[in-house]
Amino acid sequence: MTDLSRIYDISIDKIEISEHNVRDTQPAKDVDELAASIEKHGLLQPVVLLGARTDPPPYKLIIGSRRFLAHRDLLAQKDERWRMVRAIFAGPIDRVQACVRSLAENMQRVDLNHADAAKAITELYVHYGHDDSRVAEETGMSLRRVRQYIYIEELASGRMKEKLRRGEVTPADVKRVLEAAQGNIRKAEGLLDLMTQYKLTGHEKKRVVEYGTTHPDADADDIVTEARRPRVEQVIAVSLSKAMQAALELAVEALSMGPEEVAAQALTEWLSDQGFLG
Amino acid sequence: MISKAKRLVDDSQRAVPDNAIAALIANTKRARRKLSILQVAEWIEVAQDHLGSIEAVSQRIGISAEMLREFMSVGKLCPSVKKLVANREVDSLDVVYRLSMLRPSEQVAVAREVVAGAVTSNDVRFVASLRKRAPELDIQEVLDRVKKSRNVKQYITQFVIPSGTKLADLRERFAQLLGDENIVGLEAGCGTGTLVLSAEGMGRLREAARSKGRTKRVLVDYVVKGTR
Repeated sequence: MTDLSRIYDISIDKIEISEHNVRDTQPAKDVDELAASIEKHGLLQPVVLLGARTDPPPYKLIIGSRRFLAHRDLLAQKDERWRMVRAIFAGPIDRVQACVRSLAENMQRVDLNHADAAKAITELYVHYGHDDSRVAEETGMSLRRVRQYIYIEELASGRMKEKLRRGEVTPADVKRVLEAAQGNIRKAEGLLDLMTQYKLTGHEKKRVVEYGTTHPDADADDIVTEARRPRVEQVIAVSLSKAMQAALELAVEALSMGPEEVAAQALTEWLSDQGFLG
Repeated sequence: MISKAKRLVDDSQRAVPDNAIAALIANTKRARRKLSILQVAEWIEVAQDHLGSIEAVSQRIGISAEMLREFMSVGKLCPSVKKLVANREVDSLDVVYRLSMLRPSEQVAVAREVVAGAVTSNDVRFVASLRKRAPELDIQEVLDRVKKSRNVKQYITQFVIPSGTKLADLRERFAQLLGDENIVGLEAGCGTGTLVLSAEGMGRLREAARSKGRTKRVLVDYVVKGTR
């Protein structure tokens, strides 16, 4: 039986990164910063290896690839203190368990590349019978975040995913164009291309979604042209009691939003809850 | 490292782990912080020294490691911007985090606009995002692009018109107070008036109300009745 609480010192040359580790793209991101922290504090959290200590090396690393790479960098500076890596053994766990553990661990730290996370989350989603709540529960991620990954993975085209993988666009941009194009994948691709070409600001991107959803017949060029044009926004002054003013100020501070944005959101939610807003 | 030269938390306070935990719970789990972001970041550093890692601090106080790292991003600000954070002229965590993504000279330019109230935290988020995608642009160009792309705001105030009041007279009274160029429209119908103001006009109305110790609503009613 594997003792998960027992920490071993394993020579770095006996460890290799497992194919079950979900961090596949840019594993070396921000490793310098981590190496500096390990040099200062030591490796406080052991890496996790598959199988048992008694198995023959090389040991497969499922959690802690960045810590492992930071150790390797420190060792490359001819400092023999870093030859041994603190590690625990997870025992003979299957592919899904390894995926869950690796994903849960990595999502808490430096953000995974979108493609790596989406691949792992979709695999778990399929494994758990399309139960997104179960994926959220197992990985410790919010349901909203899990749904965003699944939404993009299911609806985005290969070309859009490739742009995501290369870091040319953000998941939020892909979600925006999918919403604006309302199921028309060619239009969504066109919108994404134009968004990148014109380097739209956040205000303009918001208008892409607004105009796209309210004008389903508009093509990608029209939507972006309209989105690049500031629109007149009318603000209605409302009298508030002192208590409401104080509450609004609290919300503004806590949410880092403007008072009008908070009020608009509250009103939108209320109108929607009451069935006045479709 | 937040500040090597000047520590905000003294050594005797640093020595007790519970001091750090208490300070962090009181200043990260409430809407109103007593401490500046710089002070919170220093307490996170103290807690990290005691507990070993950001993750351990996160588990102990029940705040996400992501949020703690956002506080720590204040360490990446240049000295003059850190000073604004210390004085709480820049006090939004989101703004500090976005500023930390910019180069020092850019941080100064954007922080100056934040302090002047010329950009919101949303704008700063869009500036940081556009900066990343358009490195060829000067930061002032990025700021201008974001500001110009905002929606144009107009403010609407409605009021009851006393019988016999002429719309032209009403417009003249509002123009005297707010400037004719700031009145986008003034309409009347069914005994109700609708005044549409530019952002500048609303600013003037706010100022006038403050100087007279009235709410905007009350001031508008006074103007309508011709008794301001």
